[in-house]
Amino acid sequence: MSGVGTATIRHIDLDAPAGILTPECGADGVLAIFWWHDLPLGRRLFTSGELPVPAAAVPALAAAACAPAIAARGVLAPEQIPVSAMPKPAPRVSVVVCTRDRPVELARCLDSLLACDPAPDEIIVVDNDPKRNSTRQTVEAKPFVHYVAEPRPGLSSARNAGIAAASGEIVAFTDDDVTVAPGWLGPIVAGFADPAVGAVTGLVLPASLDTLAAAAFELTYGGLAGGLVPARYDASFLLSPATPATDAPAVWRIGAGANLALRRAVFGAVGTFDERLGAGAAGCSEDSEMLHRLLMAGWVCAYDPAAIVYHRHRNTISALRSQLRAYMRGHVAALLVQFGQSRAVGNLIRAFVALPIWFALVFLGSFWRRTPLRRAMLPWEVLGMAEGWVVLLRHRRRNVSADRTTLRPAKMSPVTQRSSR
Amino acid sequence: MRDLGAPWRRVEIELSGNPAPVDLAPGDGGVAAILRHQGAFVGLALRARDKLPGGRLEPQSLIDQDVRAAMVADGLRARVAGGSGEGQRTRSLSVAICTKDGAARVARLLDTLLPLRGETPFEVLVIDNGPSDDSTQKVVEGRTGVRYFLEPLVGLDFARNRAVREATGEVLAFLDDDVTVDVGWARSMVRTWADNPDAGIVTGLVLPLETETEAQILFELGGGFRRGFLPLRFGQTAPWDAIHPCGAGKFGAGANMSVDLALVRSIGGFDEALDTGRPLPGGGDLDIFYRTLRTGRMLVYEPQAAVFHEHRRATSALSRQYGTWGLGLMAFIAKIWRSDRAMRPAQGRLVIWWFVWMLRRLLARTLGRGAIPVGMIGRELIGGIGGLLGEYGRSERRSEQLRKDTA
Repeated sequence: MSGVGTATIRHIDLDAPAGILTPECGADGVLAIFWWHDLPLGRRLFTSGELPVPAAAVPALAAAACAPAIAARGVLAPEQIPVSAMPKPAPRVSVVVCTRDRPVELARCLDSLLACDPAPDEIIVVDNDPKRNSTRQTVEAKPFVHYVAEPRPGLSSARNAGIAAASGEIVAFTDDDVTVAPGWLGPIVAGFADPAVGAVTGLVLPASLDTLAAAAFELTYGGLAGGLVPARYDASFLLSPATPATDAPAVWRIGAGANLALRRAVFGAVGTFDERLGAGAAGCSEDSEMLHRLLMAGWVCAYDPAAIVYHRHRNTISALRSQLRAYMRGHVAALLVQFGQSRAVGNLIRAFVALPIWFALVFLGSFWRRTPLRRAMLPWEVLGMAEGWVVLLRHRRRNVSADRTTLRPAKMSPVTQRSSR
Repeated sequence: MRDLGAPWRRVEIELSGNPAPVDLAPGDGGVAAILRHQGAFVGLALRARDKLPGGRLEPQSLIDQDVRAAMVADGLRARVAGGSGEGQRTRSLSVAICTKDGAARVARLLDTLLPLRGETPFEVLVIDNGPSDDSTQKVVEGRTGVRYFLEPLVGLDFARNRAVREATGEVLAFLDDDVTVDVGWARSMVRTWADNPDAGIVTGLVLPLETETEAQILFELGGGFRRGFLPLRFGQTAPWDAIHPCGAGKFGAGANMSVDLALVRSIGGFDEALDTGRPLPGGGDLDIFYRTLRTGRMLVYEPQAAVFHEHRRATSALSRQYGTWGLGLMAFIAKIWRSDRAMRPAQGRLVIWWFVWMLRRLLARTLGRGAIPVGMIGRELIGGIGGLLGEYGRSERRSEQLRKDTA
């Protein structure tokens, strides 16, 4: 079988004996994540037929799994990996968490933020279009956390409200379905030591893969941001050879909004999040579209896998279906927005030609690879794509003043700041 | 087309320290550099002369991401917690060399193999397979502690099964007579078995012993027998691999493999209708890999258990060998199509995948990419078609007849 099913996540420190690798609680496989202290250097999925892995077999496999990420840093051993220094004086950091009626998840997220070292200078919870009072109550039960209500629905509106309320030079975003690693902010702040860096993104690890939906999201669809090698992206990423003229720049590879920090100065230069995109509006990609604008304006985006958050993926197939549909809708909408900014036809080719071809290939490939779940999700992804073609028409009417400025050709210069709300 | 008429210089470069550059002699067509780091194998670099400015090879230029990753992995595995050593049971090792009229090659192999017994004790068996004279027997008798067996039934898998019956160790390693072993071979084999108590098969790295002729250089440029320089571990399932466990070529090669003796005995040994010599001289290793994985036991590839293989020298022999590989693979598939119905979907996919892959190689070659000439790929393709057209059944009947005639 080539399908992978559910998996137990095992975090293994290279310095501590791993013991036997075996799935727990009826899971099919094991996703092993190999760590050197606070740094994940390798991951490997073991399917049911490869398990259990006896303890003595783990070191060679751990070494093989970690070797590419260590070698890519140009060193020969994990202790030679350079640690980026914190800038002095440290800039002020605001953390913005946007939420909507998920008090239990939010409380867990806030607890992890309050345990952060280095600690954020402020934490702002944006309560987006609340139907209940539970978010306010959750926030009021925590020390040091500010509450901001944003009645207009949509993740971008909520993020922009967070930006307006934040006082830090750095605004770090995370989501309510995330918990952050204790050292999360260190690499993020260090990343901004370079004044050319406008955004720092980090690793999004799955919190759990014990349902088929969560495992499929991570293992079949690639999860949110899984690279284990630091990367720097600049304006050259938008052009050949990184991106052929026939394709859109893969800005979504830079990182995800669940683990995204922006320098306050970029909002003045390129504007805030596009409120036509994001959950609650087109569906998603407000994060990558923002990064696209940053790159166009000449900012550098840095990805550092040492900045780690854990994301709770959707646990039911129906939620996964809605998510994939929303993702595709948002993705296509963002491609159209990006075309409006850069006039790069690769965005249109992807939205109207490459994606339909890709879905046809996925359909055929699902028989070859025996991934019936992927095939079952396909109609929803295609539907999302088609909605993406037209969704901007609806949102254009809602937010006219912002559209006009954003859609003006940018010519690689800072985009005019959008009218403040 | 590069000129492969001139021999390529084969060198070993130790990358730790400060290796000196390698200067080609006037007659050298290129260089095949076996790369080591602190003794461990980390890469093989093949460079034609026209890629080397001034005919000089700078060792540092050979360290690409793959080589560096192998260097990292070898340094790391020794110090990852829970590593090999303490508390593991070492399994006793037998080594079998199956040969047919290869006395000189057997002598060459024994000269590299027997000294390793000082560090790692093991039993050595030489299976003389239908010899035309006693030269191999004389080679064995000239050395102490090597057991000699004459197997009258001609066919590599008859010889292998003789070794399976005669060996007294827990693990039985097979070496082709046209290899020599690296000094770390036995140590690495034994360590890999200790680290993987659930393994049924361990395979090792096969490097070129010489790169003198066009055929030998071509074969290495086409990928050789190598399976990379990082350790691999396979089970009965593999993520995203629709042809697993039939994609037997990725597991290693029969020239350097070892098997759990009790397991192989319990599944009836090697298939004597495969690897018979002409007309079906292949497929036996693929078959034992597949059947072992299907029992639920693991297959481990360990690059540090390395041998050096003397590839076919004549281009015509290499061409014939490509035909053999196609034939052996498809005869093996035809066999398991009958014997293991549960896996038919994967088997069918392998056949489709293989033909698509062949056509892609042909296409790439006609567009000027890839090392292997169209003629050889064509031979492999024709061999594969032959394998699907009943060659296994015919071979089964021949082997049965052979057993009857001898009995």
